[in-house]
Amino acid sequence: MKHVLVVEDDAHNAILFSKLLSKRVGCRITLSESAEEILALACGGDVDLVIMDVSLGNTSYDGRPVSGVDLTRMIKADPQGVGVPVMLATAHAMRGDAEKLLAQSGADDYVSKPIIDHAAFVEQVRGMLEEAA
Amino acid sequence: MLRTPQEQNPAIPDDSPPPAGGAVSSFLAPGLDVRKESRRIAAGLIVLAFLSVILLNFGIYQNAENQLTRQRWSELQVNTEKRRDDVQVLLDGYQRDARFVAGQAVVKAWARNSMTSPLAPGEQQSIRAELERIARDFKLDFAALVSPEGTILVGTSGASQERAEDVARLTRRALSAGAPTLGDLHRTSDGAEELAVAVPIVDSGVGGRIPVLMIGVCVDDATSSLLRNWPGFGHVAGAYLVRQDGDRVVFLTSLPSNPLVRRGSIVAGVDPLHRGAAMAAAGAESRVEIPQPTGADLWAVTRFLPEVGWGLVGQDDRRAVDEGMRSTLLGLLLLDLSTALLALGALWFWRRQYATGLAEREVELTRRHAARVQSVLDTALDAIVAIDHEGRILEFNPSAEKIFGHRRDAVLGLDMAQLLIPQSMRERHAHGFARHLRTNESSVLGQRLELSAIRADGTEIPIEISISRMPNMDTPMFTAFIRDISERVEAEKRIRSIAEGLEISNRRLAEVNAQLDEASRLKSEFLANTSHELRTPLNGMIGFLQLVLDGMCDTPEEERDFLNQALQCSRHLLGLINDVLDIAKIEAGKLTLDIEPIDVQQLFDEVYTLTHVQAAQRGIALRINAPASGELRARGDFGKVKQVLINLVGNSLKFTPHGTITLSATQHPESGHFMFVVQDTGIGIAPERQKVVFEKFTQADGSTTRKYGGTGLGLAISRSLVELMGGIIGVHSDGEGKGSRMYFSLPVWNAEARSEVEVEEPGDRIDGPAGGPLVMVVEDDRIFRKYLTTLLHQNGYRTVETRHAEGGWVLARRLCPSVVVLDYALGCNEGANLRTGWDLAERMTTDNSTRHIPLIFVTGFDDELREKLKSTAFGRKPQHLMKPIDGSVLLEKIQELVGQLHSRTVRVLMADDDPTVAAFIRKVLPEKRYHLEIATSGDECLHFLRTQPYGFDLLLLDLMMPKVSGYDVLREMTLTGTSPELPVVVLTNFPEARTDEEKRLLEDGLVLDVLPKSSIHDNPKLLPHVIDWQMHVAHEGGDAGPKPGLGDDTPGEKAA
Repeated sequence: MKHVLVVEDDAHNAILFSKLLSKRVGCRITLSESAEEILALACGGDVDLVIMDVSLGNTSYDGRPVSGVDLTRMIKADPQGVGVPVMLATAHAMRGDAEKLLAQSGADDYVSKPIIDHAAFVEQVRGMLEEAA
Repeated sequence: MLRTPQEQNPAIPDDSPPPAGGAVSSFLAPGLDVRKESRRIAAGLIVLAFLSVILLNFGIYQNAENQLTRQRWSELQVNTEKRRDDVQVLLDGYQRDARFVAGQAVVKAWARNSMTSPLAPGEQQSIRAELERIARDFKLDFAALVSPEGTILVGTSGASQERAEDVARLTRRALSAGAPTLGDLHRTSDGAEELAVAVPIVDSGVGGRIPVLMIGVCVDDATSSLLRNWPGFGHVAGAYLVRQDGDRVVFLTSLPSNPLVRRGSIVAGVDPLHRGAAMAAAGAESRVEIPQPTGADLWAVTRFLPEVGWGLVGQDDRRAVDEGMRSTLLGLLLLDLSTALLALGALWFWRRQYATGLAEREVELTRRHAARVQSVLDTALDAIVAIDHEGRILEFNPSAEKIFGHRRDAVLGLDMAQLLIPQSMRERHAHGFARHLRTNESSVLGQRLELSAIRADGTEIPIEISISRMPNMDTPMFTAFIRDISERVEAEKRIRSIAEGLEISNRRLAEVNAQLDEASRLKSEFLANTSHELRTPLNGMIGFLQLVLDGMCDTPEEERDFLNQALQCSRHLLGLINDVLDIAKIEAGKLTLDIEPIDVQQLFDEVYTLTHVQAAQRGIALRINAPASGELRARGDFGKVKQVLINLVGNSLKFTPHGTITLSATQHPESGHFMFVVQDTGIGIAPERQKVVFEKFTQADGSTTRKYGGTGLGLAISRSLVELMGGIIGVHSDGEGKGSRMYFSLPVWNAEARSEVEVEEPGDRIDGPAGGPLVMVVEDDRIFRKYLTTLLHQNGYRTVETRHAEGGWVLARRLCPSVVVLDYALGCNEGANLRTGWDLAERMTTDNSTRHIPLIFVTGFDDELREKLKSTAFGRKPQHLMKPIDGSVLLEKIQELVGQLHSRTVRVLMADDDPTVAAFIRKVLPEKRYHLEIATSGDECLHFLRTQPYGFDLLLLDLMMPKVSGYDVLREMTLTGTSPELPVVVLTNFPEARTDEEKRLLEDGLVLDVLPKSSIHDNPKLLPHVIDWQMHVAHEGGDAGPKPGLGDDTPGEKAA
């Protein structure tokens, strides 16, 4: 069973992602807002995909607030984590945001909130999981 | 025209090369001493005169000698010729005598008798006697009857036979001639010659023998009177007769004056001493000069008597000529003497004239030069001041008078340094001056320097100065050219200030630019944030609904949970949209407030209703402390105030895990506000975050948004709302975990305040006593503002008022008031950038043009203010006073801040014909600070102004004065520019101008203000304040405030 790490600061959205992915993709979901935990999981080899929010109001690392972009960069900088696909799922969805965020973070994919088409999103996730496998 | 000396004196060549040193060049040297020059000219003239007199004398002498000699010669000649004629006549006479005697019958008879026969002795006797008688009668030497053979037949005793040869020769000649014949006989006895005349007595001839009558006479004796007597000649003059005897010369007569001429002496013909005699004897008729051994030349004229073969020599010597020449010399001497005297006199006269002329010319030149110099001095635009080696003023031209305000005749001879050099510079000047005199070195001579100088009125002005030392002076003298560069300096200052202004404007533009950029950036950020914030709940909404629709719910409970999640998200979204719209509205200035009296009790009730459930749910005690008395009402928009309160309470609820939230309101009627406080026992706020919690999209902790919910816009909206309603808002927390205290204020409602909304903005009108220091009052409470302005007016301050911070900022920049009195909480327009007094203070202290203006907060929020002041760095801490204030304390503070501006004595000229007014003004203006000069008429006032144009700082002018009125004084000042910068305060009982011209005089230029005398009486402090403010303005050099227009209410009335 695939293991997906969901990083999301909004409680409703966190629940939504976990419900949606568990029900429609059928994978194991871990929710976390702790930077240390996220890095440990992502680079621990146990995670097949990270779905990462960008604005993380509650996450800090070394006492500094960090965003999803920062975390993605850290994961991609890690030899263990570099192979783990990361998908940015963010409400920063104004024109140009996607390209900018992908370039800044080095993430593998991007989805803008709100997610209108669940089926497409699920396909996207599945694709990434298979690719990783 | 005067000729140059060279032309007059040929002895001195008139051009180069100059002979013998520099005589000529020095002679030519301009500016030579007149006496020396004339002396030289005189000497030349004397030499010239001397030479010409010598020449003249020589000429005259020569001429006279020639003439005299010629005359003497001719006289000698004439005389000699006359002697010859006389001798001829004498000879003729003797001839006639002889003929007569021979013609006597008796003689004839005797002669015949003697021819016929020898004479009887008796006969001889009688004949002899007869002859003797004849000889006596005719004064003859002898008379004789001579035979044709030449023997004397009978004769007088003198007729001796010793000259028989001569007698015989003569007889023969006479007989051969047949006529009386002259001849001479040499007398052997004394060597003298005798003249003889032989007459043949033809009638008595017998037989061819004809007897001859011979008479003789001594030549010398006969001619001596004739030849020697030369009247009119010297004693040497005379004539003598000579005869040739072979190659010798025989003197016939002698001259007593000449021992060489002795009758009978015979000399050689070649003897040079006897050249004359020789020439005469030889028959040469000539003249000759015969040098004499004595040295005196003899002049001789020779004539010849052919009948007898005698030479006549007329002689004279040079003595007469010499005598003549002596008199000529004497005459010449006299002539010379008189000429010399005349010449000397003329010379003296000329020299005097010439010297005088030269001196006059020199004086004239000097005078012209002086006049030129004077005109240069007089018309020079620069001040020219000359000093001697002791620093005393020698020259002080009109420009100097103008620049320094000293009169020339008053300063000549005074010490320049004391008069013109500022105290601080004097020592340096003295040092440099002394050093220059000692060593001849100077660092200032010939330089253009910019220094400062003091004027007669004690003011210091910037000057440009160039000092030179006058050349060729026995004692050092210095000339300074001085230019008043006040205007230039002023202009430079102005240019600098303009440049600074430009700089400031540039900076400000850059600032504005940055602000605009920042605003733009903030807007984009706000938009991005808004977009993000809106999308986030939308995602939840859409997602859960999709899940439900996709049939992903395993149980009905789960479906319900999903729908519930979706609902929460949509609510959050709604809240967000509302907040965002509120903020957008506020920022766009589109929020309309419905201002009304707010019943605080009712307000709290509604807030409680809306919040207590939530509080209860969270287990938090919510306490409400409404004000004890409900009589007073707050002023604001009920709904908005409620929104703010709910916001604050909600905020506290979010951040208070447990404990109590206390909502309270206290009223402060004395400072006119309500204070609302929400106190909680929550997590508190770190001090550095306290400043930013009221910013948009921020929360005390970035991490709290999601945890505690909320949009992060609530406090920003609350702040805007409170400030728009004229309140302030703030938070105080002792730190994290110590709970927090959020507060905001609202003005107290009063009925008049409502109408104030309609009252138009006070604008930038300046009121109050003219000339007083300008105080800006920023206060939204109209009553308190009125109180402040009245208080200030009464104490001699002018005011400008505004009721909000934005207006205060504009006025502070434009008018640059002396002091700003401001409230903390201020009403403001929607969309205003500066909303509170705090905002204004911050803005003013960060702007260069307003940074120096002292601020006094007068506020009811003294504690809050103090908290804020503590946490803010100000260059100059604003003063603060707690409302309600004690007027005197405020005045003291203002006085303290304004009073630092000036301290020097103010010189006031007062013109008033009423002595009681003057006495009153004396009392009003303390002697320590004000020097008061009183003119009792308009004339006297003008006199003061003319004589001391810069002597006064201010003129207090009465309008109604006899003869020359105050209007006349103003007119004179305006027309002639007398005391052009003297500010005038008109003190009058009749402040209304009667004619247009009078109105113009009062309004234009000079007149600072018109004060009714009554106002001075009512408020004695008014006048000093007016004057001080004027001095302050003058001192600062800028317009610290515009002149109050006369169209305004009369200040005195306001003050009263």
